[in-house]
Amino acid sequence: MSDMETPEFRGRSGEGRGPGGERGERGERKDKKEGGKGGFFRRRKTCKLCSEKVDYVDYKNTKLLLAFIPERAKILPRRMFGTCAPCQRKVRTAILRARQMALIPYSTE
Amino acid sequence: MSQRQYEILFIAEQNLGEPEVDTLTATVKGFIEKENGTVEKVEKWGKKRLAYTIGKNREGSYVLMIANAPGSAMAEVERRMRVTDGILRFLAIRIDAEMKKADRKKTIRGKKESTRRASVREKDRAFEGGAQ
Repeated sequence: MSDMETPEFRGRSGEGRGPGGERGERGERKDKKEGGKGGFFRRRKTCKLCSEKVDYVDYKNTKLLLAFIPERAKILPRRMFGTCAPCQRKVRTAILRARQMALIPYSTE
Repeated sequence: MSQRQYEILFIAEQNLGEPEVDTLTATVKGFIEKENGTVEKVEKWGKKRLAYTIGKNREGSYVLMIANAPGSAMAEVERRMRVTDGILRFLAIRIDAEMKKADRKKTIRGKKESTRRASVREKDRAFEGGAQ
């Protein structure tokens, strides 16, 4: 339905409110960017490990693991990296192992 | 008894020289062989700086071993390693299952990839045929 109206017609203060009670601002934003329910756009993160086809996350491969470790050396939640659940699990165990063997730090001061 | 593949990584103390690390490696190898296991590969990483100090050690010599041994043997090997002087820390993990999984994934993907490529080629050919 919003496709029918031209975006120029819709004012900021909601003069161009559609019949369904839809706010003009929303329509405006929709035109600028992307649309969707949430209002603002979040780029869908994809699992790095899946796309790079890493089958086995080795705890000895510190180069790979360090990509998942921020400054403070905490393991960040999945939503930060966009890893899929199985991959995050693999990364987690690998990091824990590497930490135990002093390959990567538990924390940095 | 079924043999399983294990990966053992241990850190030797920093004050040990290379010959001492070698003898330490030999002793660990002895532990495994005593329990009807075989050592497939030994990889010496040399002295590396530790990410944090372990009991006054700022660096340590890493040795990686891949061994085939029954599961019951590994308990004994681990116990012996724990009481061996000179070993700062060790990690023994079973890798056969994970490696198998990884291999399977790889082969499945290989198959998928080849079929996909084939279908693309098919399409290309059809397209070229239509153009001519």
